[in-house]
Amino acid sequence: MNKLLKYFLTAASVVLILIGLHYLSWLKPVENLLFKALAPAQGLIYQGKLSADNFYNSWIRQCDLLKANQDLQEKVKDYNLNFSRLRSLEEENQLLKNELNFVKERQLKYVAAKIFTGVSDPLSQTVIIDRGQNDGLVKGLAVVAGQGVLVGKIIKVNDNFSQVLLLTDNQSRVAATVQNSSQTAGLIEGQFGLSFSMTNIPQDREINVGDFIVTSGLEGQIPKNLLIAQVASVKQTASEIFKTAILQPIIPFDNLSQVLVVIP
Amino acid sequence: MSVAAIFFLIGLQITLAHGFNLFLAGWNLTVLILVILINLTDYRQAVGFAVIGGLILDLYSSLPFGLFMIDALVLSLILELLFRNFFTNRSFYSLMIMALAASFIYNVIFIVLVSVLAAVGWTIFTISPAYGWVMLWQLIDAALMMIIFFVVFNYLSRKFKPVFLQS
Repeated sequence: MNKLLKYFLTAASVVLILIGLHYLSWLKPVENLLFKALAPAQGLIYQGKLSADNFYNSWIRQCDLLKANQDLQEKVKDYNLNFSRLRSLEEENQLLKNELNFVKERQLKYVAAKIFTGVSDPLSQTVIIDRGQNDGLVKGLAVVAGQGVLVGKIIKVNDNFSQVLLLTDNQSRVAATVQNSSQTAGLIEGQFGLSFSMTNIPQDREINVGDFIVTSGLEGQIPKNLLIAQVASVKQTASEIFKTAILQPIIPFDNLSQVLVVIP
Repeated sequence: MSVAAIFFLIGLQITLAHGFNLFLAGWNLTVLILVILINLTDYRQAVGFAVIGGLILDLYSSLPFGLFMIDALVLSLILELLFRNFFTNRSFYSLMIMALAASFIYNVIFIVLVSVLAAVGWTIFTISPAYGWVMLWQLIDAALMMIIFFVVFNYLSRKFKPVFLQS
C-alpha cells in the first residue's frame, strides 16, 4: 500500500508541476515539439477516418440507389409540373454561386490551413488546424471552407497550431444578417453539434425559407457578408419577443479537411 | 509499454473522439489500456501511462489543461484499489466489470471536473443532458472492446483465466 501511495503521489506531483508549467507558458516549447512530432501521424489517422467515412457513406448510398431511383422518377413528374419553381431555384443558384466566389471577388487576405485532427474532449465541436501564431493567426478570426462558406472561428492559438470552434458547437455564437431587403439581424447559435440556428430575430423583421444568411461584420475579426447558411424553416410564436430560424448548412461539416482563415 | 505505442493509441482515440458517430466516439482507449495495464503489469506502468496519455489528451483538448491527466490519474488509483481488493482473479467477468466500472468512474470524474471548472468560469463548455448518450455508448463500447481484447489475448497468452468461458 505504501508503494502504491508513493507512486500515486509522485505522479500527482508531476501532474501538478506540468499544469503549473503550462499556465506559466514554460511548457510551450515541449508542447509545440509534441504537436509537431504527433502532427504527421495524427494527420494520417484523420485522413484514414475521412476515407473510412467516405467508404461507409458511398456504401450506404449504393444500398439506397434503387429506392432513390424510383423516388427520382416520381419527382421528375413533379418537376415538369413545377417549372416556375425551377426558375426561382435557378435564381437562388446564381446567388449561391456569387456567394461562393465571394472570397475571390472581395480579394480578402487569407491563410490556407489543413485540418489534421479533432480535439480529445467529447464536449466541443472543435478541430485543430496546422497554422498558428507564426502564420499571423489570432483568436476570433473567421474560418471558411469550400469557396467562402463560414464554418467556424479560431478560439485558441499556439505557435504552429490553432483550435477552430465549429458553428455547430453549442457555445458558438456569430453575429449575422439575412440577405434580404430588410437586412434582418440575429445571432447564429450551434445546436448540439448537429446543426445551427439563427436566434434573436425580432418578430417584426422579415425572414423566409430559402433566404441566405451572411456574417454581419459586427464582430471585429470577421468580415461582413461571408456566407453562412440558408434558412430551412422559421419558428415563430406570437407571445415571444424573438423568432428563430433553423438553418441548413451550405456544406457538410463532418468531412472538412482544407480551410481558409480570413485575415481582415 | 513504449511511449510510441501510447502516442499512437491516444492519437487514435483523439481522432475517434472527434467522430460524429457516437459508436466510434465511445471507444475510450485510455480507459481500456488502464484496465489492461492494472491487470497485467504493475501500478507504476499504469500510472506512467495515465500521466503521458492524459498529457496528450490535454494537448488536444478545448478544456482547461490538466483535466485529462487528473482524470486518468485518479482513475488509475481507484482501479488499482479495486483490482487489489475485489477483482483479483483475472477472469473474464472481473475484467468486464472492471472495464465497465472504469468507464463509468472516468466519466463521473470528468463530469465533476468539468462542472466545477465551468462553475468557476474556467471553461465555456458544460455538460449537457445529451452527454448521457456519450456515456452510454462508452459503456457499450468498453464491454465490446474488452470481449475482443479478452478473446484475442487469451488465444495468444494464458495470463487471464477463462472462468466460465470457453475460449
